[in-house]
Amino acid sequence: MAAYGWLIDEKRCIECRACESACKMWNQVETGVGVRRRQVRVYTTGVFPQVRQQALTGACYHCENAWCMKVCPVKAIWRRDEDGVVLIDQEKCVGCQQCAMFCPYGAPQFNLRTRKMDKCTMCFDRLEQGLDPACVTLCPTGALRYGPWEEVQKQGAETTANFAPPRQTRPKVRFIQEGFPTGK
Amino acid sequence: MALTRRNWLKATGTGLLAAPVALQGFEDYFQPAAGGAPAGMTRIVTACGICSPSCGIQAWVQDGRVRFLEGLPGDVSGDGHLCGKGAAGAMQLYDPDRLKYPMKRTNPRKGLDEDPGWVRISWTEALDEIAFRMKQTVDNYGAEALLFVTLPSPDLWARFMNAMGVVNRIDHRDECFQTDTVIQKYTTGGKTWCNDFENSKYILLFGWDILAKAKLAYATGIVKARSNGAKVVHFSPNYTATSRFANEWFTIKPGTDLAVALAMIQVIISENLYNKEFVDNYTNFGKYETEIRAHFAQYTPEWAEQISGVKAADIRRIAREFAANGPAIAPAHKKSLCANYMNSSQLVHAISILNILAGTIDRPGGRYFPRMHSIPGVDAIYPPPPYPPKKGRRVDGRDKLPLVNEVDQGIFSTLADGMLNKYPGMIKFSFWNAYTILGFPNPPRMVEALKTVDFTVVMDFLPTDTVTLADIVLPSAMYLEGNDAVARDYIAKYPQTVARKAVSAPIFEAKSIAYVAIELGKRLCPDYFKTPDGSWINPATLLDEKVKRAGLGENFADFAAKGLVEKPQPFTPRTTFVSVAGADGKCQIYVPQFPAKGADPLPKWIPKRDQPNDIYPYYYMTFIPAIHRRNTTENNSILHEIMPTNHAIINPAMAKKHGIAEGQKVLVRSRAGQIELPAHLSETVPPDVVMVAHGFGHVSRAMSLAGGAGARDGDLIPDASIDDFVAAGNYAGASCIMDAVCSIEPL
Amino acid sequence: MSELRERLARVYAELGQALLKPPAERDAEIEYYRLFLNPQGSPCPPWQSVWEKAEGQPPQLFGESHHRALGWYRRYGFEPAAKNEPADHLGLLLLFYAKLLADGEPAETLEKFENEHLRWAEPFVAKLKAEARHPYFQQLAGRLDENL
Repeated sequence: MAAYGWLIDEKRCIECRACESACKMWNQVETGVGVRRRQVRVYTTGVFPQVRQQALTGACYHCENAWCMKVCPVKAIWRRDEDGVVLIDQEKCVGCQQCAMFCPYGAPQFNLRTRKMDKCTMCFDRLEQGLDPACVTLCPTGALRYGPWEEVQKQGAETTANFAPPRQTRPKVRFIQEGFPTGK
Repeated sequence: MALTRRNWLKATGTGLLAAPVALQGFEDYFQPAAGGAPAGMTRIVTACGICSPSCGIQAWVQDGRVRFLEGLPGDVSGDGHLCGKGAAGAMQLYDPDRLKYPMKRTNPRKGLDEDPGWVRISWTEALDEIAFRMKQTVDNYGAEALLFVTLPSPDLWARFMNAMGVVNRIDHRDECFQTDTVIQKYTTGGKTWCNDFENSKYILLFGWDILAKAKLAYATGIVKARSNGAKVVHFSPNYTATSRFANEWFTIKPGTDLAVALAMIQVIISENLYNKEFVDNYTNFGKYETEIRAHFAQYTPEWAEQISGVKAADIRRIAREFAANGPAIAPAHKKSLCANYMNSSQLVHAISILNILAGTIDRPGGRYFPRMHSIPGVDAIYPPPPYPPKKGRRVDGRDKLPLVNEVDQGIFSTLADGMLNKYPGMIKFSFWNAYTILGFPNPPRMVEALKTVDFTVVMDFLPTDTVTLADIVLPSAMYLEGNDAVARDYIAKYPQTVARKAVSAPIFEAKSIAYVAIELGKRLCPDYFKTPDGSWINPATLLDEKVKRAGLGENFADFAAKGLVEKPQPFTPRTTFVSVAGADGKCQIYVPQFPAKGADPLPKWIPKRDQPNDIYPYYYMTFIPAIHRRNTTENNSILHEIMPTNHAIINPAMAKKHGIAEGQKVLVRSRAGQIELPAHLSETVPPDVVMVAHGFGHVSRAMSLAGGAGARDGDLIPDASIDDFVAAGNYAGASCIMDAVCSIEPL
Repeated sequence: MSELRERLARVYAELGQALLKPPAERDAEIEYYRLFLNPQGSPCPPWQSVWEKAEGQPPQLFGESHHRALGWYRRYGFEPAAKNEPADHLGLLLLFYAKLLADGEPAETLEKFENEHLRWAEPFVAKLKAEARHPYFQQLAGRLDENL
């Protein structure tokens, strides 16, 4: 299987949320039912004026050792052979929210109308056509990228601030560490 | 640019593309893939209309419905991308609350809480009545009694207003960049729309949350600048996304950026650090050197520290770095520093001087003039008969500010006072196009002013609060439903124009303002709306003619098929600048023409209008969140879900002092009004600031998502009389859209 | 790259092109159009989605397999030069397969492509064998049978 992973360069995020809008538009995710598959979360640390912020875009990391798959009591969560994308079968899901309880990243969310779980699908329908996921397509600064996991996992760091420790579930994501160059 | 999968494979040298093997015949049947097209979808190139850079769009349409919006590769404005607002633009197109038919009120009582009792009428009836009312008003009271609250575009609409001799056409640009337009006419020769951030080495930002506003035209430039090792310095009372992005962020007392800018000029001039080549050859520094040096001597960094709270040593160091690390740029545009305070006119002049001293006016890495396709307007294609002279009084008092009068923009901040106080009862008829009361300081006062008008027409795409106060409502088409040629003007080193092509026809009976212009023209001033052969001007034919004459294509359809037309050419920097008499084509640091027009030739320190006091001890600040466009997107379902309401954002220290918990409802008061909204605690704001996002507090429940959500930030911002502006020396008409102080208490 | 692979790649490329372009000789040219692009109904339409029709549906062009093939090509950065024609023409599929071979794609990838876009051609080739009148196409059918 040719799996894909996310490559995130936080310093380039301008908090424009094009990734959030793109996801909603392409996947036609209903608004107002408590599901935002991708979200840019902003974390603040320090006391004014020694204050700092971090902007971290996150959806689902299609973990190599996905706990959601393991804990689903009705085996509604499965992984595609073609691209390693983890999906929630809407026919089988009963909305028990176990997956949400065990996911360290808040990926599965409870849809208040369908009463089932919903999460990022890495736009596998776009992947099949040789297109990039909607969020990556829209990101204007390259803060959010992706690539073959074989290549991505050699880049950057496994984790970053405000990111749940990755050793257990092995999320397919890497975080670029280098800052912007400082001039002469 | 996002690194796509195909690029990724190329970059790492694995896979097919790294080492193509010659295979007989393969290239006869296969070619490199162009941008990916989702299966079963039609691609339509158009341009966003949510904010003015108008980023190019690839709209993907399936079964007549917009399924996805993405950027247009090659478009310089969005750098081939869209922001979160643009990407969600289709939700505006399909917003179920959209105005659908012309309507007329049956309940004569007007008020935000009154039900107008709307009945549907035909366009013909609406236009006949509007024309009748306009004629009646002009016959009885003169053209000055007509109030058009609108930008002067498109050109057909401007023609109509000119043909009717409209004196009181008013727009919001005093809250935007008007000061920059006014001042740069005399300092550099015109407003330098463009900022060449990506080639800058030093970017100085005063108060401008350029990233949080997500104007991609600028934001991507700043990201590129930092990738190239540039230094970004941000002066802002509060910490924002831009501060996160900057190399150094300095908190500063609200409204005191002027002091820092003046001190920086003092350092650069007294230490002779300015760009000598540019200053000696292209400015009037030599002619007025004595006056200039003498004037700025008083504005030391130590003096500025007292006022702004920024350490003198830092001011001095930043000034030296700015001068030494060229090309350097200090941009100015929109809200943040052009309009915020009573001293914004002086600040914009000071900023202009900093750029002149850096020697980057129309130079790489600096502020430059857009190079655009010359697209003729309707007056060039169908020359009109002479327009009547505009006779009458300006209700906003703009004529009292000669420099502002010259540029024919603004003024929102003094409009209510003009209608209620200076010229009560003068306005008998008003036409609002795409503006709402939320766009004014002290909106309740604007509501009172509107109630004094006999007849009001509102044209918009959503049932806003202003619609509630109208006599006739007209449903407007929105940007995805129209055709146009949209020139790039925010990033424009060479001409580039994008075709805006409608993805679908306007819903129900929505129409464009151009249609309204022509139809009212037919009724009221037909001679101005005929072509040379005697037929009525047709917008589609007009557009074809514009496209052809601009060299964009044979006609619009041809241009639309191309999507984007550009004329790459070398960038030739200007060598002559200010064209007003007496400037000799040079940039002017000292502006000798200003005193005769009520302004100082050099910027001087004046404080902002409202200062903290015993009753209102805190600074009141507002901001525009990246995910919303002023007050027009709060009803967009995708954007509403991300940010449904606003808060009073306060520092935990202030919260503790007043016993306010996170999420608790608070009452925030100023001398202009008061609002109730939940508090949000954040260490990003100083302990003496209450910060509220603009755009919320729509009352009209006809907007099912935005109606009743949040509080109206403008209620706390005092509006002004024109006399206030004149007395304060606000010669460029800054709207003071953030000049307020407040108190806070838990509820 | 192994010599065997190189040779195989060339074979497939040749076969692919033979299906995409009519031969120069007059009689063979006429037979090409009779077999593959006959206005009165081609006995051997060379597009996958015509042969893999969905249940209850008539055979159609630009079906599922067209989109999937397009996806394959795009993943490798290519597109058919002819924009308005189905991407699942057997000639294009063979030519692309040849490229995968020539560029050293791993065995799993080749197998995947064979399963998705070459196996379907068995009945097509059988029909071609039965229908071909000109020796050129009888020969072509024979070679396709051997190699697919």
